[in-house]
Amino acid sequence: MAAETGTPTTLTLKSNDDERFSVAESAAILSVTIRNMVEDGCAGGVIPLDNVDGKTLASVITYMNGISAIPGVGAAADEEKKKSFRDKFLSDMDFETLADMVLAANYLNMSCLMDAVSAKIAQVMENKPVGWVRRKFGIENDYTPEEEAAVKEEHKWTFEGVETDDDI
Amino acid sequence: MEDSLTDLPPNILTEILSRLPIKSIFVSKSACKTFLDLPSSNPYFNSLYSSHATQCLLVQFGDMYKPTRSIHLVDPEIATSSRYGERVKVNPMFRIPKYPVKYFRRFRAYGGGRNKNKFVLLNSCKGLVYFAEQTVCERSFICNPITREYVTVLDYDEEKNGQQLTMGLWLGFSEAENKYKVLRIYCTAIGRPWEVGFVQEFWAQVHVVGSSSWRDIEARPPSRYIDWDTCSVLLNETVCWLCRYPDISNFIVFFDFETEKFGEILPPPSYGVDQTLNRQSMNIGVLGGNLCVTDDTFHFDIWVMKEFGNRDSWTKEFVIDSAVHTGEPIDGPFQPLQFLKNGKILMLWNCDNLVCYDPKEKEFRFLDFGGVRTVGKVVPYTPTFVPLKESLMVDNLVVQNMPREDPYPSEDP
Repeated sequence: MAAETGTPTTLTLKSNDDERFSVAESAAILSVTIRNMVEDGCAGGVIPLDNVDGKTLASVITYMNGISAIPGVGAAADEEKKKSFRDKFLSDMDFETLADMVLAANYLNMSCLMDAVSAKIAQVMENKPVGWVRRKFGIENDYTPEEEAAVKEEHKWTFEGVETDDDI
Repeated sequence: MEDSLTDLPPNILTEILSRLPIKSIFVSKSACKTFLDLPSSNPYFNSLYSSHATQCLLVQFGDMYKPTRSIHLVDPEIATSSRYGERVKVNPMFRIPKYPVKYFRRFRAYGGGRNKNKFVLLNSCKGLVYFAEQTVCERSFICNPITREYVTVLDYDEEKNGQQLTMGLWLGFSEAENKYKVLRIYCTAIGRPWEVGFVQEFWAQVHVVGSSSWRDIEARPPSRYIDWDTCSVLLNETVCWLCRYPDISNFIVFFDFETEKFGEILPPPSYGVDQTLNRQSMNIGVLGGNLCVTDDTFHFDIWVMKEFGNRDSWTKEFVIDSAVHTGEPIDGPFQPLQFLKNGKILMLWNCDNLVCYDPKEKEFRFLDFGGVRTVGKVVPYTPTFVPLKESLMVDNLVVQNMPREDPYPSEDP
Protein backbone atom coordinates (compact mmCIF):
# COMPACT_ATOMS: atom_id res chain seq x y z
CA MET A 1 0.00 0.00 0.00
CA ALA A 2 2.48 2.62 -1.13
CA ALA A 3 1.30 6.14 -0.56
CA GLU A 4 0.47 8.11 -3.66
CA THR A 5 1.30 11.79 -3.71
CA GLY A 6 -1.62 13.73 -2.32
CA THR A 7 -3.42 10.69 -0.94
CA PRO A 8 -3.43 10.65 2.84
CA THR A 9 -2.03 7.41 4.15
CA THR A 10 -3.69 5.38 6.84
CA LEU A 11 -1.70 3.18 9.12
CA THR A 12 -2.82 0.17 11.06
CA LEU A 13 -1.55 0.01 14.62
CA LYS A 14 -1.71 -3.24 16.56
CA SER A 15 -1.64 -3.34 20.36
CA ASN A 16 -0.02 -6.09 22.39
CA ASP A 17 -3.41 -7.68 22.98
CA ASP A 18 -4.06 -7.89 19.25
CA GLU A 19 -6.49 -5.01 18.82
CA ARG A 20 -6.09 -3.16 15.55
CA PHE A 21 -6.70 0.53 14.93
CA SER A 22 -6.66 2.64 11.78
CA VAL A 23 -5.16 6.05 12.08
CA ALA A 24 -4.05 8.72 9.62
CA GLU A 25 -0.29 8.73 9.16
CA SER A 26 -0.19 12.48 9.73
CA ALA A 27 -1.61 11.94 13.23
CA ALA A 28 0.36 8.80 13.99
CA ILE A 29 3.73 10.32 13.35
CA LEU A 30 3.30 12.48 16.44
CA SER A 31 4.97 9.38 17.84
CA VAL A 32 8.64 9.35 16.91
CA THR A 33 8.68 5.59 17.45
CA ILE A 34 5.95 5.10 14.84
CA ARG A 35 7.56 7.61 12.51
CA ASN A 36 10.83 5.68 12.64
CA MET A 37 9.02 2.42 11.94
CA VAL A 38 7.30 3.96 8.92
CA GLU A 39 10.61 5.24 7.59
CA ASP A 40 12.07 1.78 8.08
CA GLY A 41 9.42 0.41 5.76
CA CYS A 42 6.64 -0.82 8.03
CA ALA A 43 4.00 1.36 6.41
CA GLY A 44 2.88 -1.37 4.11
CA GLY A 45 1.85 -3.73 6.84
CA VAL A 46 0.68 -3.43 10.34
CA ILE A 47 2.71 -1.62 12.96
CA PRO A 48 3.07 -3.76 16.06
CA LEU A 49 3.25 -1.86 19.35
CA ASP A 50 4.31 -4.46 21.87
CA ASN A 51 4.30 -2.26 24.91
CA VAL A 52 0.84 -0.76 24.67
CA ASP A 53 -2.48 -2.46 25.36
CA GLY A 54 -5.61 -1.85 23.31
CA LYS A 55 -7.41 0.36 25.81
CA THR A 56 -4.44 2.71 26.19
CA LEU A 57 -3.71 2.72 22.47
CA ALA A 58 -7.30 3.77 21.75
CA SER A 59 -6.84 6.76 24.09
CA VAL A 60 -3.51 7.66 22.55
CA ILE A 61 -5.07 7.63 19.10
CA THR A 62 -7.87 9.92 20.31
CA TYR A 63 -5.13 12.27 21.52
CA MET A 64 -3.20 12.07 18.26
CA ASN A 65 -6.31 12.79 16.21
CA GLY A 66 -7.34 15.66 18.45
CA ILE A 67 -3.99 17.40 18.45
CA SER A 68 -3.23 16.96 14.77
CA ALA A 69 -6.66 18.36 13.89
CA ILE A 70 -5.66 21.73 15.36
CA PRO A 71 -3.67 23.54 12.71
CA GLY A 72 -0.80 25.92 13.14
CA VAL A 73 2.39 25.85 15.06
CA GLY A 74 3.12 28.59 17.52
CA ALA A 75 0.05 30.72 16.87
CA ALA A 76 -1.30 31.77 20.25
CA ALA A 77 -4.94 30.93 19.55
CA ASP A 78 -4.01 27.44 18.39
CA GLU A 79 -1.84 26.91 21.44
CA GLU A 80 -4.86 27.83 23.58
CA LYS A 81 -7.00 25.29 21.71
CA LYS A 82 -4.36 22.60 22.13
CA LYS A 83 -4.14 23.40 25.82
CA SER A 84 -7.88 23.13 26.36
CA PHE A 85 -7.96 19.91 24.37
CA ARG A 86 -5.24 18.45 26.59
CA ASP A 87 -6.92 19.61 29.79
CA LYS A 88 -10.22 18.06 28.75
CA PHE A 89 -8.56 14.87 27.53
CA LEU A 90 -6.80 14.30 30.84
CA SER A 91 -9.47 15.64 33.14
CA ASP A 92 -11.34 12.47 34.03
CA MET A 93 -8.48 10.05 34.16
CA ASP A 94 -7.69 8.20 37.34
CA PHE A 95 -4.13 7.59 38.40
CA GLU A 96 -3.84 4.14 36.84
CA THR A 97 -4.99 5.44 33.46
CA LEU A 98 -2.58 8.37 33.72
CA ALA A 99 0.25 5.95 34.53
CA ASP A 100 -0.61 3.82 31.49
CA MET A 101 -0.75 6.97 29.34
CA VAL A 102 2.63 8.22 30.47
CA LEU A 103 4.24 4.82 29.91
CA ALA A 104 2.71 4.68 26.44
CA ALA A 105 3.94 8.21 25.70
CA ASN A 106 7.40 7.14 26.83
CA TYR A 107 7.43 4.01 24.66
CA LEU A 108 5.95 5.80 21.66
CA ASN A 109 8.33 8.74 22.17
CA MET A 110 5.61 11.39 22.12
CA SER A 111 7.06 14.35 23.96
CA CYS A 112 3.93 16.52 23.93
CA LEU A 113 1.82 13.77 25.50
CA MET A 114 4.59 12.95 27.97
CA ASP A 115 4.79 16.61 29.03
CA ALA A 116 1.02 16.89 29.36
CA VAL A 117 0.57 13.74 31.46
CA SER A 118 3.63 14.44 33.67
CA ALA A 119 2.31 17.92 34.30
CA LYS A 120 -1.11 16.53 35.12
CA ILE A 121 0.26 14.02 37.64
CA ALA A 122 2.42 16.75 39.17
CA GLN A 123 -0.64 18.98 39.40
CA VAL A 124 -2.52 16.30 41.33
CA MET A 125 0.44 15.83 43.68
CA GLU A 126 1.30 19.43 44.34
CA ASN A 127 0.87 20.94 47.78
CA LYS A 128 -0.55 17.72 49.17
CA PRO A 129 0.78 16.15 52.35
CA VAL A 130 2.83 12.99 52.45
CA GLY A 131 0.09 10.68 53.67
CA TRP A 132 -2.28 11.75 50.93
CA VAL A 133 0.38 11.30 48.22
CA ARG A 134 1.19 7.81 49.44
CA ARG A 135 -2.47 6.76 49.48
CA LYS A 136 -3.34 8.30 46.13
CA PHE A 137 -0.37 6.93 44.25
CA GLY A 138 0.03 3.59 45.98
CA ILE A 139 3.44 4.46 47.36
CA GLU A 140 4.84 2.16 49.98
CA ASN A 141 6.59 3.82 52.88
CA ASP A 142 9.95 2.09 52.99
CA TYR A 143 11.38 4.25 55.77
CA THR A 144 11.76 3.09 59.32
CA PRO A 145 10.08 5.48 61.76
CA GLU A 146 13.49 6.85 62.76
CA GLU A 147 14.58 7.35 59.15
CA GLU A 148 11.32 9.09 58.32
CA ALA A 149 11.61 11.38 61.32
CA ALA A 150 15.17 12.26 60.30
CA VAL A 151 14.17 13.11 56.73
CA LYS A 152 11.27 15.26 57.91
CA GLU A 153 13.47 17.03 60.43
CA GLU A 154 15.95 17.83 57.71
CA HIS A 155 13.28 19.52 55.61
CA LYS A 156 11.08 20.83 58.38
CA TRP A 157 10.40 24.07 56.56
CA THR A 158 8.62 22.32 53.74
CA PHE A 159 5.87 20.93 55.90
CA GLU A 160 4.32 24.21 56.82
CA GLY A 161 1.96 25.68 54.31
CA VAL A 162 1.26 22.28 52.82
CA GLU A 163 -2.21 21.10 53.73
CA THR A 164 -2.34 18.75 56.67
CA ASP A 165 -4.10 15.44 56.29
CA ASP A 166 -7.04 16.79 58.26
CA ASP A 167 -7.76 19.30 55.57
CA ILE A 168 -8.45 16.75 52.88
CA MET B 1 -1.12 -2.03 34.70
CA GLU B 2 0.94 -0.20 37.29
CA ASP B 3 -0.12 -0.05 40.89
CA SER B 4 2.31 2.44 42.27
CA LEU B 5 3.82 5.67 41.09
CA THR B 6 7.22 4.32 42.07
CA ASP B 7 6.87 1.48 39.54
CA LEU B 8 7.28 4.04 36.76
CA PRO B 9 10.79 4.23 35.33
CA PRO B 10 13.14 6.90 36.77
CA ASN B 11 13.05 9.10 33.67
CA ILE B 12 9.27 9.46 33.95
CA LEU B 13 9.43 10.04 37.70
CA THR B 14 11.99 12.76 36.99
CA GLU B 15 9.60 14.42 34.49
CA ILE B 16 6.88 14.41 37.14
CA LEU B 17 8.84 15.45 40.23
CA SER B 18 10.75 18.19 38.44
CA ARG B 19 7.43 19.90 37.71
CA LEU B 20 6.42 20.12 41.36
CA PRO B 21 6.70 23.33 43.35
CA ILE B 22 9.79 23.37 45.54
CA LYS B 23 8.12 22.42 48.79
CA SER B 24 6.24 19.52 47.21
CA ILE B 25 9.53 18.09 45.95
CA PHE B 26 10.75 17.86 49.52
CA VAL B 27 7.44 16.47 50.73
CA SER B 28 7.71 13.73 48.09
CA LYS B 29 11.26 12.99 49.25
CA SER B 30 9.85 12.01 52.61
CA ALA B 31 7.28 9.71 50.97
CA CYS B 32 9.73 6.96 50.07
CA LYS B 33 13.41 6.29 49.43
CA THR B 34 12.96 6.23 45.64
CA PHE B 35 11.94 9.87 45.72
CA LEU B 36 14.57 10.81 48.28
CA ASP B 37 17.36 9.86 45.93
CA LEU B 38 15.75 10.89 42.66
CA PRO B 39 16.97 14.49 42.38
CA SER B 40 20.57 13.58 43.10
CA SER B 41 20.70 10.31 41.19
CA ASN B 42 19.16 11.53 37.96
CA PRO B 43 21.46 13.75 35.89
CA TYR B 44 18.56 15.48 34.13
CA PHE B 45 16.68 16.43 37.26
CA ASN B 46 18.49 19.71 37.93
CA SER B 47 18.12 21.11 34.44
CA LEU B 48 14.52 19.87 34.09
CA TYR B 49 13.62 21.48 37.40
CA SER B 50 15.25 24.75 36.34
CA SER B 51 13.24 24.78 33.14
CA HIS B 52 9.97 24.48 35.08
CA ALA B 53 10.88 26.37 38.24
CA THR B 54 8.64 29.22 39.28
CA GLN B 55 9.86 32.19 41.22
CA CYS B 56 9.47 32.33 44.98
CA LEU B 57 10.32 35.06 47.46
CA LEU B 58 12.85 35.10 50.28
CA VAL B 59 12.03 37.31 53.22
CA GLN B 60 14.22 38.61 56.01
CA PHE B 61 12.50 40.27 58.93
CA GLY B 62 13.88 42.85 61.30
CA ASP B 63 14.98 46.35 60.42
CA MET B 64 18.40 47.27 59.11
CA TYR B 65 19.90 47.43 62.56
CA LYS B 66 18.59 44.10 63.75
CA PRO B 67 18.15 41.81 60.79
CA THR B 68 17.03 38.31 61.80
CA ARG B 69 19.07 35.20 61.14
CA SER B 70 16.01 33.27 59.98
CA ILE B 71 15.28 33.59 56.30
CA HIS B 72 11.78 32.72 55.17
CA LEU B 73 10.44 31.34 51.91
CA VAL B 74 7.16 32.43 50.35
CA ASP B 75 5.66 30.38 47.54
CA PRO B 76 3.49 33.01 45.84
CA GLU B 77 1.06 30.48 44.35
CA ILE B 78 0.29 29.10 47.82
CA ALA B 79 0.44 32.48 49.52
CA THR B 80 -2.12 34.00 47.22
CA SER B 81 -4.53 31.09 47.13
CA SER B 82 -7.69 32.03 48.90
CA ARG B 83 -7.28 29.34 51.53
CA TYR B 84 -4.98 31.53 53.58
CA GLY B 85 -6.97 34.72 53.51
CA GLU B 86 -5.11 37.95 54.00
CA ARG B 87 -2.06 36.64 55.80
CA VAL B 88 0.99 35.61 53.75
CA LYS B 89 2.17 32.14 54.56
CA VAL B 90 5.89 32.32 55.33
CA ASN B 91 8.06 29.35 56.17
CA PRO B 92 11.37 29.71 57.98
CA MET B 93 13.64 28.03 55.47
CA PHE B 94 17.14 28.36 56.87
CA ARG B 95 19.24 30.33 59.30
CA ILE B 96 22.24 32.37 58.28
CA PRO B 97 25.44 30.59 59.38
CA LYS B 98 27.14 32.06 62.40
CA TYR B 99 30.39 33.78 61.65
CA PRO B 100 32.96 34.51 64.33
CA VAL B 101 32.50 37.90 65.89
CA LYS B 102 34.81 40.36 64.21
CA TYR B 103 36.33 43.52 65.52
CA PHE B 104 36.29 46.36 63.09
CA ARG B 105 38.99 48.89 62.77
CA ARG B 106 36.93 51.92 62.03
CA PHE B 107 36.40 54.29 64.86
CA ARG B 108 39.76 53.16 66.16
CA ALA B 109 40.03 56.41 68.08
CA TYR B 110 37.00 55.35 70.02
CA GLY B 111 38.38 51.87 70.70
CA GLY B 112 37.10 50.19 67.60
CA GLY B 113 34.00 48.11 67.71
CA ARG B 114 32.64 44.65 67.62
CA ASN B 115 30.29 43.67 64.89
CA LYS B 116 27.46 41.60 66.23
CA ASN B 117 27.41 39.24 63.29
CA LYS B 118 24.47 40.83 61.51
CA PHE B 119 24.11 39.77 57.91
CA VAL B 120 21.54 41.25 55.58
CA LEU B 121 19.87 39.59 52.62
CA LEU B 122 20.95 41.40 49.48
CA ASN B 123 19.82 39.67 46.32
CA SER B 124 19.53 36.34 44.55
CA CYS B 125 20.95 35.34 41.17
CA LYS B 126 20.10 32.02 39.47
CA GLY B 127 19.21 30.31 42.73
CA LEU B 128 22.22 31.57 44.68
CA VAL B 129 21.60 33.99 47.52
CA TYR B 130 23.95 36.77 48.56
CA PHE B 131 24.34 38.15 52.09
CA ALA B 132 26.70 40.80 53.45
CA GLU B 133 27.51 41.92 56.91
CA GLN B 134 25.79 44.98 58.18
CA THR B 135 27.96 48.04 58.65
CA VAL B 136 31.65 47.92 58.29
CA CYS B 137 32.94 44.43 58.54
CA GLU B 138 33.43 43.67 54.86
CA ARG B 139 32.37 40.04 55.02
CA SER B 140 29.86 38.52 52.66
CA PHE B 141 28.82 35.05 51.54
CA ILE B 142 26.88 33.21 48.87
CA CYS B 143 24.65 30.28 49.69
CA ASN B 144 22.33 27.80 48.05
CA PRO B 145 19.47 27.22 50.51
CA ILE B 146 18.35 24.05 48.73
CA THR B 147 21.68 22.25 48.90
CA ARG B 148 22.40 24.02 52.20
CA GLU B 149 25.88 25.04 51.14
CA TYR B 150 27.69 28.34 51.39
CA VAL B 151 30.99 29.93 50.44
CA THR B 152 32.60 33.00 51.94
CA VAL B 153 33.37 35.74 49.46
CA LEU B 154 36.70 37.54 49.65
CA ASP B 155 36.50 40.46 52.06
CA TYR B 156 36.52 43.85 50.42
CA ASP B 157 38.62 46.50 52.06
CA GLU B 158 36.80 49.60 53.19
CA GLU B 159 39.82 51.31 54.52
CA LYS B 160 41.94 51.10 51.43
CA ASN B 161 42.65 54.53 49.96
CA GLY B 162 40.96 56.32 52.77
CA GLN B 163 37.50 56.00 54.16
CA GLN B 164 34.90 54.43 51.95
CA LEU B 165 31.23 53.93 52.52
CA THR B 166 29.69 50.96 50.81
CA MET B 167 26.43 51.94 49.11
CA GLY B 168 25.52 48.46 47.99
CA LEU B 169 26.60 45.02 46.85
CA TRP B 170 24.99 42.88 44.15
CA LEU B 171 25.59 39.34 42.96
CA GLY B 172 25.28 38.88 39.22
CA PHE B 173 26.26 36.53 36.41
CA SER B 174 28.09 36.98 33.13
CA GLU B 175 26.88 34.45 30.57
CA ALA B 176 29.77 34.97 28.15
CA GLU B 177 32.39 34.37 30.82
CA ASN B 178 30.26 31.84 32.69
CA LYS B 179 31.18 33.51 35.95
CA TYR B 180 29.46 34.94 38.97
CA LYS B 181 30.58 38.41 39.92
CA VAL B 182 29.86 40.83 42.71
CA LEU B 183 29.46 44.54 42.14
CA ARG B 184 30.28 46.93 44.94
CA ILE B 185 29.40 50.59 44.77
CA TYR B 186 30.97 52.84 47.36
CA CYS B 187 31.53 56.51 47.91
CA THR B 188 34.40 58.55 49.19
CA ALA B 189 34.01 61.98 50.67
CA ILE B 190 36.20 64.95 51.29
CA GLY B 191 35.01 67.11 54.13
CA ARG B 192 31.65 66.89 55.83
CA PRO B 193 28.32 67.36 54.11
CA TRP B 194 27.69 70.70 55.77
CA GLU B 195 31.11 72.11 55.00
CA VAL B 196 32.01 74.26 52.07
CA GLY B 197 34.00 72.32 49.55
CA PHE B 198 32.36 69.02 50.43
CA VAL B 199 32.95 66.53 47.63
CA GLN B 200 31.37 63.12 47.38
CA GLU B 201 32.37 60.69 44.68
CA PHE B 202 30.97 57.30 43.69
CA TRP B 203 33.10 54.38 42.60
CA ALA B 204 32.57 50.81 41.53
CA GLN B 205 34.47 47.60 42.12
CA VAL B 206 33.95 44.15 40.73
CA HIS B 207 34.99 40.86 42.26
CA VAL B 208 34.85 37.69 40.21
CA VAL B 209 33.74 35.02 42.68
CA GLY B 210 36.70 32.77 43.37
CA SER B 211 39.31 35.27 42.24
CA SER B 212 41.85 36.80 44.61
CA SER B 213 40.96 40.48 44.44
CA TRP B 214 38.39 43.20 44.17
CA ARG B 215 39.06 45.20 41.05
CA ASP B 216 38.37 48.90 40.69
CA ILE B 217 36.66 49.39 37.38
CA GLU B 218 36.94 52.35 35.08
CA ALA B 219 33.21 52.80 34.67
CA ARG B 220 31.79 55.15 37.28
CA PRO B 221 28.31 54.94 38.67
CA PRO B 222 26.23 58.08 38.15
CA SER B 223 26.76 60.54 40.92
CA ARG B 224 23.14 61.45 41.31
CA TYR B 225 21.32 60.15 44.30
CA ILE B 226 20.02 56.69 43.63
CA ASP B 227 18.09 54.58 46.07
CA TRP B 228 20.73 51.90 45.72
CA ASP B 229 19.17 49.52 48.11
CA THR B 230 15.43 49.73 47.81
CA CYS B 231 15.07 50.43 44.11
CA SER B 232 17.22 47.78 42.47
CA VAL B 233 16.26 44.75 40.41
CA LEU B 234 18.30 42.02 38.80
CA LEU B 235 17.36 41.29 35.20
CA ASN B 236 19.42 38.68 33.33
CA GLU B 237 22.96 40.05 33.34
CA THR B 238 22.14 43.51 34.55
CA VAL B 239 21.20 45.15 37.79
CA CYS B 240 18.95 48.18 37.33
CA TRP B 241 18.20 51.10 39.63
CA LEU B 242 15.50 53.73 39.47
CA CYS B 243 16.93 57.15 40.17
CA ARG B 244 14.86 58.78 42.84
CA TYR B 245 16.51 62.13 42.22
CA PRO B 246 14.07 64.29 40.29
CA ASP B 247 16.17 64.83 37.21
CA ILE B 248 15.45 64.72 33.52
CA SER B 249 18.49 62.59 32.91
CA ASN B 250 19.19 59.34 34.72
CA PHE B 251 15.73 57.80 34.76
CA ILE B 252 16.93 54.24 35.13
CA VAL B 253 20.59 53.29 35.40
CA PHE B 254 21.91 49.78 34.95
CA PHE B 255 25.17 47.87 35.33
CA ASP B 256 26.03 45.08 32.90
CA PHE B 257 27.98 42.26 34.54
CA GLU B 258 29.42 41.16 31.23
CA THR B 259 30.70 44.46 29.86
CA GLU B 260 31.23 45.88 33.37
CA LYS B 261 29.83 49.19 32.25
CA PHE B 262 27.01 51.39 33.40
CA GLY B 263 24.23 52.40 31.07
CA GLU B 264 21.11 54.49 31.04
CA ILE B 265 17.52 53.81 30.18
CA LEU B 266 15.34 56.69 29.11
CA PRO B 267 11.69 57.05 30.09
CA PRO B 268 8.82 56.32 27.71
CA PRO B 269 8.82 58.90 24.89
CA SER B 270 5.36 60.08 25.88
CA TYR B 271 6.47 61.05 29.38
CA GLY B 272 6.19 64.73 29.96
CA VAL B 273 8.58 66.69 32.15
CA ASP B 274 6.30 66.66 35.20
CA GLN B 275 5.83 62.96 35.04
CA THR B 276 9.52 62.28 34.59
CA LEU B 277 10.35 64.31 37.67
CA ASN B 278 7.80 62.70 39.93
CA ARG B 279 10.01 59.80 40.92
CA GLN B 280 8.65 59.30 44.41
CA SER B 281 5.57 57.67 42.95
CA MET B 282 7.58 55.26 40.86
CA ASN B 283 9.28 51.95 41.28
CA ILE B 284 10.82 49.32 39.03
CA GLY B 285 10.40 45.58 38.83
CA VAL B 286 10.51 42.63 36.48
CA LEU B 287 7.46 40.98 34.91
CA GLY B 288 7.63 38.11 32.45
CA GLY B 289 11.36 38.67 31.98
CA ASN B 290 10.94 42.34 31.11
CA LEU B 291 11.86 45.47 33.01
CA CYS B 292 8.85 47.46 34.09
CA VAL B 293 8.03 50.67 35.86
CA THR B 294 5.06 51.36 38.09
CA ASP B 295 3.89 54.91 38.21
CA ASP B 296 1.05 56.04 40.40
CA THR B 297 1.45 59.75 39.75
CA PHE B 298 -2.01 60.17 38.29
CA HIS B 299 -3.48 56.71 38.10
CA PHE B 300 -1.58 53.53 38.56
CA ASP B 301 0.21 52.53 35.36
CA ILE B 302 2.57 49.69 34.68
CA TRP B 303 4.92 50.28 31.77
CA VAL B 304 6.79 47.29 30.36
CA MET B 305 9.97 47.62 28.35
CA LYS B 306 9.54 44.89 25.75
CA GLU B 307 13.07 45.23 24.42
CA PHE B 308 15.72 46.08 26.96
CA GLY B 309 17.39 49.40 26.23
CA ASN B 310 15.00 50.36 23.43
CA ARG B 311 13.10 53.43 24.56
CA ASP B 312 10.43 52.99 21.92
CA SER B 313 9.53 49.57 23.26
CA TRP B 314 8.03 51.00 26.47
CA THR B 315 4.41 49.86 26.47
CA LYS B 316 1.74 50.89 28.95
CA GLU B 317 0.53 47.35 29.61
CA PHE B 318 -1.72 47.91 32.59
CA VAL B 319 -3.75 50.85 33.80
CA ILE B 320 -4.97 50.13 37.27
CA ASP B 321 -7.60 51.95 39.24
CA SER B 322 -6.33 51.49 42.75
CA ALA B 323 -9.33 53.34 44.13
CA VAL B 324 -11.55 50.40 43.23
CA HIS B 325 -10.62 48.74 46.49
CA THR B 326 -11.19 51.41 49.09
CA GLY B 327 -12.63 54.36 47.18
CA GLU B 328 -9.39 56.28 47.57
CA PRO B 329 -6.38 55.82 45.32
CA ILE B 330 -3.65 53.98 47.14
CA ASP B 331 -0.20 55.49 47.37
CA GLY B 332 2.69 53.37 46.30
CA PRO B 333 5.43 52.59 45.76
CA PHE B 334 4.52 49.26 44.16
CA GLN B 335 7.28 46.95 43.04
CA PRO B 336 6.16 44.33 40.48
CA LEU B 337 7.56 40.93 41.40
CA GLN B 338 6.07 38.37 39.01
CA PHE B 339 3.09 37.07 37.10
CA LEU B 340 1.21 34.30 38.84
CA LYS B 341 -0.02 31.23 36.99
CA ASN B 342 -3.53 32.62 36.67
CA GLY B 343 -2.29 35.84 35.07
CA LYS B 344 -2.48 37.88 38.25
CA ILE B 345 0.29 40.29 39.10
CA LEU B 346 2.14 40.02 42.39
CA MET B 347 3.66 43.21 43.72
CA LEU B 348 5.41 44.40 46.82
CA TRP B 349 3.70 47.42 48.34
CA ASN B 350 5.57 49.88 50.52
CA CYS B 351 8.30 47.27 50.89
CA ASP B 352 6.35 45.29 53.46
CA ASN B 353 3.07 44.04 52.06
CA LEU B 354 2.15 41.87 49.12
CA VAL B 355 -0.50 42.90 46.66
CA CYS B 356 -2.10 40.61 44.14
CA TYR B 357 -3.82 42.35 41.22
CA ASP B 358 -6.14 40.54 38.83
CA PRO B 359 -6.14 42.36 35.47
CA LYS B 360 -9.24 40.49 34.26
CA GLU B 361 -11.48 41.06 37.27
CA LYS B 362 -9.74 44.35 38.10
CA GLU B 363 -9.40 43.32 41.72
CA PHE B 364 -6.78 44.03 44.34
CA ARG B 365 -5.99 41.76 47.24
CA PHE B 366 -3.70 42.93 50.00
CA LEU B 367 -1.75 40.39 52.00
CA ASP B 368 0.36 41.19 55.00
CA PHE B 369 3.17 39.31 56.67
CA GLY B 370 1.71 39.65 60.11
CA GLY B 371 2.03 42.88 62.02
CA VAL B 372 4.42 41.67 64.70
CA ARG B 373 7.57 41.63 62.66
CA THR B 374 9.10 44.39 60.56
CA VAL B 375 9.73 43.24 57.04
CA GLY B 376 13.38 43.91 56.27
CA LYS B 377 13.87 42.63 52.76
CA VAL B 378 11.87 40.73 50.15
CA VAL B 379 13.93 39.21 47.35
CA PRO B 380 12.73 37.31 44.26
CA TYR B 381 14.32 33.85 44.32
CA THR B 382 14.16 30.88 41.98
CA PRO B 383 15.54 27.74 43.68
CA THR B 384 18.14 25.51 42.10
CA PHE B 385 19.28 22.02 42.99
CA VAL B 386 22.66 22.49 41.35
CA PRO B 387 25.43 22.11 43.95
CA LEU B 388 27.38 25.26 44.69
CA LYS B 389 30.67 24.00 43.32
CA GLU B 390 29.02 23.24 39.98
CA SER B 391 27.25 26.62 39.87
CA LEU B 392 30.28 28.69 40.75
CA MET B 393 32.83 26.61 38.80
CA VAL B 394 35.75 27.64 40.95
CA ASP B 395 38.14 25.26 42.63
CA ASN B 396 39.67 27.38 45.30
CA LEU B 397 36.60 28.22 47.34
CA VAL B 398 35.79 26.13 50.36
CA VAL B 399 32.19 25.01 50.25
CA GLN B 400 30.74 24.65 53.71
CA ASN B 401 27.47 23.15 54.81
CA MET B 402 24.98 25.28 56.66
CA PRO B 403 24.50 23.82 60.10
CA ARG B 404 21.20 22.16 60.85
CA GLU B 405 19.61 24.60 63.21
CA ASP B 406 16.09 24.80 64.34
CA PRO B 407 14.43 27.11 61.83
CA TYR B 408 11.77 27.84 64.44
CA PRO B 409 13.85 29.35 67.20
CA SER B 410 12.03 30.74 70.18
CA GLU B 411 14.26 33.79 69.93
CA ASP B 412 16.03 35.13 66.94
CA PRO B 413 19.32 36.69 68.04
